Amino acid sequence: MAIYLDNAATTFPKPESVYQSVDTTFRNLGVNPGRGSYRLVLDAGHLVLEVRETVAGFFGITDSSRVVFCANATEAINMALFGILKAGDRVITTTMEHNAVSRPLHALTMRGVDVNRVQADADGRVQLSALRETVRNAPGPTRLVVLSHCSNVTGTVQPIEEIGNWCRREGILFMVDAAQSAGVLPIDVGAMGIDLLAAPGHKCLLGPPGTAILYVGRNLQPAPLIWGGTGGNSMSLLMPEELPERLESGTLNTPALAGLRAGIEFVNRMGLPKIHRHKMALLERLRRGLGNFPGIRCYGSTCAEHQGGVLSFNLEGRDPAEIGFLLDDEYGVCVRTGLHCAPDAHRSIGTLPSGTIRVSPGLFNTEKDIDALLAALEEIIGS
Amino acid sequence: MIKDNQLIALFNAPTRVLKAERLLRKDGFSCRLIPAPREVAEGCALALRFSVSDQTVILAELARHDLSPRRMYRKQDGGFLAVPVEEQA
Ligand SMILES: Cc1ncc(COP(=O)(O)O)c(C=O)c1O
Repeated sequence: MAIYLDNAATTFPKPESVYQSVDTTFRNLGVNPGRGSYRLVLDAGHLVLEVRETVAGFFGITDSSRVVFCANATEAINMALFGILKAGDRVITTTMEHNAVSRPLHALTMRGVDVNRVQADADGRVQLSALRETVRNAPGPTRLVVLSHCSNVTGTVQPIEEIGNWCRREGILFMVDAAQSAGVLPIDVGAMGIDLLAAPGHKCLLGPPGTAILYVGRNLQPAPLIWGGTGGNSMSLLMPEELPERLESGTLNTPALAGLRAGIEFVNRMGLPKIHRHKMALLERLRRGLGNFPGIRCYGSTCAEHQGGVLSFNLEGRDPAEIGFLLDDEYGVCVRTGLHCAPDAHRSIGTLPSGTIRVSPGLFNTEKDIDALLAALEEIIGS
Repeated sequence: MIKDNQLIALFNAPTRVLKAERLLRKDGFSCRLIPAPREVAEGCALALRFSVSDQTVILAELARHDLSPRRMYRKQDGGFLAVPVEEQA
């Protein structure tokens, strides 16, 4: 059995209850919610609503209709950025972003949106003071600040509550990419001043692939990214004004959403502090073990409070891709190597073009898995 | 990861390299997908690794399915030497 340590890409395996919910829903309620009005369809509609409410409760969202279901975090981010930004708007982002943010923003610059980047420090942390400076030095007003809560490269956690509340005071919209933090770190859209929140269901919320959410703040009315049937008001050629339908054309993935609910319930039962502690303990064990090897360089902060569930490192003089290959081929250990879809973040920490070796344990990994990784690395370094 | 008697081929799209691998495996060739070494590819590409002795037949087969690689390399003296793709095909 392979040892899977790439949970930042997607969590695997999932809790048993997630598999069961998907299977049960798929078999018994595999109809199209919101299409038609027979009882089965209504039951499916109710199920989807309950999932929406579960998500809303999890992120402190008071109105669950502001929760839009998407296929993945990338789609959620695109929906928000393309739906909100217009020519002439200014966006401030950071040098730590995933391509899920960087590429849509680049595409938007072609449409006349101005994008400025705040430089992260050597640990990958974005300071509010640096952000304020960038906003102040920009030639015009800033419409939106967008950044990831936790870096998928270094695991660095950004001070989003501080940034969000500052944005709120300044009248700047605040958007968070919670791809690596949802299900690990507490997120409350109200307390953190978040106007737009994109979160995958398939990572630390433990849901199946094909699930994600976009939260849209009360006063925002994004333009749709996709136009089509929403099950209601079918005579109109216009998309409905109401959320979530305005942003949810096409058939929803009901079985996967049922699985997402089971995943969130699992997270709730375990509690975020325990989940964070578990990951930190495993990464700390790894960091200590790596410290015994020559030529190891770890990235990110050593302070657990500023770290999410990933650790990136390099072995002096070795190509991360080769190490990853050997770990997989000879030891059955799955880690991620390379740029992790985030070249900007690697530029910030000085690891372009080869990237790093990234380890991201999940809830079901144990100390034994970390020890197996360390033993394998010891052999690879020795050989 | 790569031995001296092996070639690695790079394609211009992830789907193409997967298609190429599937095709060659179906044909019974021995080949394997590996992460492209940093010397030959920036930013996370897959490479198809196969034996130099299969070079001619494999390239002909890939060309026949319009799946010719974009670039090819051979390991030499610890570095990577570009091998022209067209001449072989
Ligand atoms: C920081 C960050 N943003 C966005 C994404 C994209 O998530 P998804 O794969 O759900 O589109 C990821 C996933 O790797 C990520 O780590």
